[in-house]
Amino acid sequence: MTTRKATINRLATGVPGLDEILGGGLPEFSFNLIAGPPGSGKTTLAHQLMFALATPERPALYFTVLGEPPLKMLRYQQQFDFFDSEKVNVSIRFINLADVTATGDLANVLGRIVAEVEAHGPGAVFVDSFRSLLAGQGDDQGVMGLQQFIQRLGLLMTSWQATTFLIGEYFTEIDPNPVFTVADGLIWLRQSLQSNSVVRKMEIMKMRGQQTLPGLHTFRISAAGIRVFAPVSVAAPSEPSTAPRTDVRLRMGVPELDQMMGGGLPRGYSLLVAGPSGSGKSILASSFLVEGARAGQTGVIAAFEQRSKAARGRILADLIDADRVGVVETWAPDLSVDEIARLLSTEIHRLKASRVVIDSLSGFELALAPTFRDDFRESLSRLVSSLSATGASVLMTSELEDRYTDLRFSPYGTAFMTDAIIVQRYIEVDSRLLRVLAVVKMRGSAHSNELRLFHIDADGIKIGQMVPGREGLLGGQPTREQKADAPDMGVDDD
Amino acid sequence: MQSEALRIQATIADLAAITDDAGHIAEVAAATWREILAVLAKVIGPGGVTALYQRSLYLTRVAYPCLAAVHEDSLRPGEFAALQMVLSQQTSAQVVAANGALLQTFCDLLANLLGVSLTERLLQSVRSLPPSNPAAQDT
Repeated sequence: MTTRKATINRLATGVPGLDEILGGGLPEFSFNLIAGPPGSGKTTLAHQLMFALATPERPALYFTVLGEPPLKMLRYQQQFDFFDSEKVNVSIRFINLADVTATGDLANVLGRIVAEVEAHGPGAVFVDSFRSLLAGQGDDQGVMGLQQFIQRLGLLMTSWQATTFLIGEYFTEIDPNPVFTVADGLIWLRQSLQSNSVVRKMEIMKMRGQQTLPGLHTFRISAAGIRVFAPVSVAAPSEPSTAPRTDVRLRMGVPELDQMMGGGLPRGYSLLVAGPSGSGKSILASSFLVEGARAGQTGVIAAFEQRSKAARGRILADLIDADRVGVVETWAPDLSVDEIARLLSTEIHRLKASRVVIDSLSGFELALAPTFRDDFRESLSRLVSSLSATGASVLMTSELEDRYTDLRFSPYGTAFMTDAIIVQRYIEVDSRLLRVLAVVKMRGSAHSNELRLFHIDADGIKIGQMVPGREGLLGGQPTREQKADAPDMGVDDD
Repeated sequence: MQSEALRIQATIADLAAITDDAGHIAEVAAATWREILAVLAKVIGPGGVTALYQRSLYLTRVAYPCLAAVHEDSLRPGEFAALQMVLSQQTSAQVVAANGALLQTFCDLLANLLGVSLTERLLQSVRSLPPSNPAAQDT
């Protein structure tokens, strides 16, 4: 008799992101359910797991019942990259149970499963689909027969040291199904529908013996199979090396602006550049990346607005070509915050980027699936936190309609989330539309409070003087200061 | 998808080279089909195999009208008696040709649905040699 506890090995699932939300992988010899409505990706998930788990020594058995005809299932599943035909009949065996299911006696089904398990000694067993198994069951036998069947199956498979998966679609959360009690793990797949958008989500409703990441996690199915977007970890406090520091400054590529900012953007800060359409936000963002490259730093740009590479300017286009600046372009519809955060952090780590640009938040909002837009502030907050966890400095642009009756910095009430804010505005002076900018916020650092004129030429942003002799600039139509006599623009106001 | 069909058909062709007994060759052909059914039904279910077999008969009957009778004969899964009977009434050369074409069509259909590599995988376990005494098994 030993007092040592049983060790539960955790199996790598082969599904990117799934191990993370499971809390470190799938417990070995567990008895799991994969449930969800038709088309939610259950069979695909099961196949992807199977190809990852199966070895010639511990093969996987895939029992098909009446549900999806195996011919079709094999035809479609082999389109995925993970489907390796070479493994079929070596480490993976498909076994059709249609004939025993047709007898309507679950005991026969169990007997057949046991016989195959004894014959092959599998490490993983899949039964697809469970609903079909029940369809072959006479109604008169009721829930008890099923419950016994499941309990015996669960017990047998655990004794045979096989990690087991039942795949079924009929389960509903409100139905107190006995399967839920017996199962060690419950992986629920869903599709949420809002307007025209569908987002796939996965929830680990139960996983005995380990701490899973709660909540609904978005996933995508591509040619490579399923990819789950686990939230980018933000729990860990910033390490000293990556914590924002005001003594290390990043230059913006506009010397006068660096001065206004007290020497540049402190490392690790997030900066919001807000302004109306055409005011030069993207140009400032480009200049931020180009200046970084000049100092030997790499950058990443998340582009949510469709534009050609050339439209970003020749120098930036060259940097992109040279892989000094990575582009995260996501034209995929219905993105989730976790997906974007994951894409960005992957690219940031790949390039060891220290400068990140999100151009623009308005585009980001549109790229999000409608179901996430309702809590956009929350989404943005998570994105910003996940980016600051990487230690990179972030510049975000935000489209801001000029409102001359009040002073706003962001359309989302999100200004507080960023460490620094630069606002650009149009003003009308002498029948000309001029641009002004100001550094509104620079956390923990001195900065200029000037409203400075600026213009954009072929070389980028050129910052000029303050607007002398005028007041009411923020109203958009400044008037000549009453006491002033400086003939600043050479033309009278009236 | 020629290789597996040819490999499976090889026994029948070899047999035809040493005997003119169409009845015996037809017996071996039917035994081979039972073997294919046993191997494939395990994976894709008897219903799936039967459906493909019937479709193959339908397609091959144009070139080999004798197979039309087999197609029209209502088929139960695992029943190749109709095929055996029709084939046994042909010359041995005709048996080899008709069964070869049928087998080829069947394998092509399967490869079309499952891809060549998976089809080869699945058919690999169909033994190319018939049981030593197929006549005894049939009784």
